[in-house]
Amino acid sequence: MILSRRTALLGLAATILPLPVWATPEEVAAEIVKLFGSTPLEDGPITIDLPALAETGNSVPMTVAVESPMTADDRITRLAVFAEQNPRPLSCEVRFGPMAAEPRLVTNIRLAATQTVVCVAEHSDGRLMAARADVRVVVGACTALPGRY
Amino acid sequence: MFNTRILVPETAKAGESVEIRVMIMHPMDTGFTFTTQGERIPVDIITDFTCTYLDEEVVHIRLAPGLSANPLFSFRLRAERTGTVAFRWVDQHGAVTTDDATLTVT
Repeated sequence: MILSRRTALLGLAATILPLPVWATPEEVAAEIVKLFGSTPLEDGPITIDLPALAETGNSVPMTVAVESPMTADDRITRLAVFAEQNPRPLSCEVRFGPMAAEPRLVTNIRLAATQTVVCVAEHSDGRLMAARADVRVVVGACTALPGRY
Repeated sequence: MFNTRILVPETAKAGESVEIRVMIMHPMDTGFTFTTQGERIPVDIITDFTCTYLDEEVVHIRLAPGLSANPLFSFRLRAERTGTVAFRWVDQHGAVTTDDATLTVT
């Protein structure tokens, strides 16, 4: 059998092209269960500050803040950020120690595509709270041109 | 190991909420990028970051490739008394980078 040029090229492309497989919201829900257990998610006083439109997904500034007095028995213990369509949905997981003044974090995240960012916070009494924010991404972090960044 | 930049205010009042900003120079390769020669860059990330103040934990962050290169964090700690604010990063190969600053509480 003689391979046509087109088939050969397609086959070659399939072997060398990157394979970032986007996650789905269901997989993200499973990831949340894996990290926090199967407690139902409530709406909570979580503020996510993300730009509505990000020109590049490589670095999107994000501020997450949860309203909490942070006393010994009424505090936020953990906070996690998930990007629903990244190949690896978890962006970061934060544990707040006894010296933290506010459950608030500023960081830069990577986004593969236009999607919803989910933040889950765990209260010291075991309640789980969640909030979502939509971001439109012009160029995703995984589809950037060859080169280091 | 890696260069770091930290911003801790020199002085604070007791009970005040103090903003700390830290950054480490690291590419945080996701494993989905390629060199200009077409070779895949393997995953290379910082996996853990801890900040302690007066030997007690402020935050412990588990990092994933979903964070940008040169990961930056900003968070708040409650000033109690004069002491050291220490930072510790661990990368996936186990290499440790540390840095610290002194916070004077008046």
